[in-house]
Amino acid sequence: MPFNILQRKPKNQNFFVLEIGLERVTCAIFNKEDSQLKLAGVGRKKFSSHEDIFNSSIEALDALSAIVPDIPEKGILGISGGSLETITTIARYERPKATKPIDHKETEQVLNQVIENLDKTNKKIFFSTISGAKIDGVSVTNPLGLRGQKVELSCFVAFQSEVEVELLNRLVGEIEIDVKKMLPTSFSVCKILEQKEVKNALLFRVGLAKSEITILEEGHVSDIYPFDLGMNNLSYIQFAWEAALKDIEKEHAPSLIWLLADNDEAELEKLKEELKSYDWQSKINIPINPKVEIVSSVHHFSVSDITLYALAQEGTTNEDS
Amino acid sequence: MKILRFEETNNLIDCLEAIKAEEDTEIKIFTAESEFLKKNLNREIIQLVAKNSKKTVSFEETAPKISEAQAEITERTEQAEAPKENLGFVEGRDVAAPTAQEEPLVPESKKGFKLPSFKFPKGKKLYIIAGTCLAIFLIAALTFVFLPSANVIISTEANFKESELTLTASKSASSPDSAKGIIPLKILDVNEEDNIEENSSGTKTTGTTAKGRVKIVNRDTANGKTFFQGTVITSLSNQSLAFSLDRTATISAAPAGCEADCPQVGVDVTAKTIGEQSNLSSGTVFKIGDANINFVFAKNDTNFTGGTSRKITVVSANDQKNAKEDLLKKLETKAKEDFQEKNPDFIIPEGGLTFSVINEVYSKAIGEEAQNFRLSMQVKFTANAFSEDTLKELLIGSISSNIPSGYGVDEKDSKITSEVLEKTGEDLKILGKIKASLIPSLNSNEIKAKISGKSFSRVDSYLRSLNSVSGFEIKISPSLFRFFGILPVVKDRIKIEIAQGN
Repeated sequence: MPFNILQRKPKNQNFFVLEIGLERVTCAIFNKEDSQLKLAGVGRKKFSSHEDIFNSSIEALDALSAIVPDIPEKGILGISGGSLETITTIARYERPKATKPIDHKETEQVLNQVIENLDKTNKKIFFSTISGAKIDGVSVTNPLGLRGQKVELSCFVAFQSEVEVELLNRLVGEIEIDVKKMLPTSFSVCKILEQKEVKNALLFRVGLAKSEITILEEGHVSDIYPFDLGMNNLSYIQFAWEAALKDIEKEHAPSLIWLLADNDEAELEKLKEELKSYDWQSKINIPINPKVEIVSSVHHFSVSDITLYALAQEGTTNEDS
Repeated sequence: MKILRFEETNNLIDCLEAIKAEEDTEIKIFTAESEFLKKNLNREIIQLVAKNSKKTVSFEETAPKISEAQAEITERTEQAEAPKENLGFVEGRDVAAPTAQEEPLVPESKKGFKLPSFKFPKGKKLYIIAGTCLAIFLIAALTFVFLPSANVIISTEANFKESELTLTASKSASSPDSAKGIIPLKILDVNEEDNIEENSSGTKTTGTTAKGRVKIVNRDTANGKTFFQGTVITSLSNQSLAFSLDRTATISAAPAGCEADCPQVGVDVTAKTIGEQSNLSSGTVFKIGDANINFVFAKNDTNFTGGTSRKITVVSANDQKNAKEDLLKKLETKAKEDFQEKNPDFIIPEGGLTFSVINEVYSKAIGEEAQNFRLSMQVKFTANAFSEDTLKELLIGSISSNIPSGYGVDEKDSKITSEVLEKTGEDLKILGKIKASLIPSLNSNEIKAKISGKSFSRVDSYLRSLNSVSGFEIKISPSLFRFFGILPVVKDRIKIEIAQGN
């Protein structure tokens, strides 16, 4: 065909994902082909303390470079554990012009106002979003473009200690990646749960000595709690979910607990049995025992790559938007 | 109060073990020295473990002035030594959100203006410039001819034709036979397994029967009496309350003129029904079986006790039935998805999916007390399926003679459905339905030839003159060439798409 050369070249759809997990760093490169995500290569390295994260990330990247030599310039960064703290603030207000569609500017103003009033001593916000909304009493996942008078916006904000954010800045500078988005990994993993149409659930990401509980209320993430117990400390681990769920309202009691291993060494069957035999009614006043499931593979991605897949999805939606 | 301090090397487990081992019930923990104590959930866990060991824990920040000063010095030194890398994270803002555009860099304008000097080229230079101009002209002309492309989307009036055809889906047939109306049938199997949790809705009254002791008094001077174990006695004041004798009682005939000293015998009794209403107070008089109350009666000297009742939630047969129906629906959907995934080109007619339950286990039996219960089922689904393309082909073939002239069937937009009418041996009689989308038979090549190189107004009048065309849209690429107001000269650069309007 003549003048084929003048046709627009397909956009380079490769992008980089770096995930600081609970006990290991994983970096990966994804290709987007015909709206399908394909994993081009993965590099992993364990770390035992926060100070090791920098070196482990460099080593994981070296391992990845051995498989895929061309590291893309743009990437996404997922965070778990460490000093991660989250807070969800419900902003309620009445709109003077109810017939005007809610736009990005309006939600951003609300989010900024919420953020201004948060205590940020010794910590830095690295991610904030409207995780859910109610318009005139009707729950919606995305309020943009909708009209209404009484609005409730769930403003989800994630912090890290200043020291850890500094370290990540240094790391990103070292590996020369243009980070387009940085967010809690569990936040993106929970979007897979949305496909299961579960409203109230608990994502339990478990390592050997560190774990993280994410609470989903009304279909959106309300809190993420990292803590220092894991498969090596099963005798104490029930106190973790008791602590995480101690203030949960009855109507938001989880109907599903989704178990996700942080690494291949964490065998979750024992924990599943613990959770199934736990007396939810008498100990935390949850009337119906939640269903306990170990995360299985999603869209041909193995269990150990699910966090990467979830982050990659964020990467593509970011690209698309 | 015991004070516990932890070093940087300590972890949460060390802290929990120390609390458990501590004899004091009041413990204070200083938090500043250990990272793990800065996590909120770790602190909550510590509180819960302490509470579980019947101890109380309080946290306090330690802020020794020396360490604070050191920390400040270290921080300042770091700031001085290493300039901060900027990731673009702004406190209080989502970095994923669109950011305000940076101000464009505007070059400083130079003061004053001077025309460049110009000399008319001569000799060799003139040829070079003339050649360059010619080359530019040729490139521009070739670009104008070969570069632009057009996508012409012609909307046609929506026309549909609906028809039905009875076919035989045969397992033994290997190829379709339009004359005999036969379509090859494929039997597909899949096993599905899942569980469902449902709430119980049945109620049941449960409890214990009242017990006590009565004395039987005989005033019959003529006959002694024997009342066998199980004989029913009823309260005179409330005949619905019945009790049975726990053992056989025998009593002799009464001496003439007896009053308070008539023969009597004591026997234990048990209420026939559960509940508090049978806890009768002492002094209640009972009729024994059919015996005449004037000759023989029973009376209790002590209160009857032990009768209780309460309502409980149980699993009802209806609950199990509903759970089974719900789970079967869920499994059926899953089975259809599995069939579809493994055999994307096949369709299952309505009524073409059968199932047999392989295993069905309820966590609670009917009548068993439970707020909720779980049903696990393994079901084998068998689908009678046939090729969607073959069915579409046969159905389109059946209406081809009735299609209006100048129209053809758009296979892509035509919808087919099927349902099982009856089963004959291994064959199925099925009813296939088609809602065929009819599109005008427009000759794309002829249209291309007519519109290539023509102005938009001429293209407009030509396309409007065509039968069944209700509208059209022209997309020129690159859009710059739209400025010229004509379609590409090369007809191969024109793409015709025919779309059906509403």
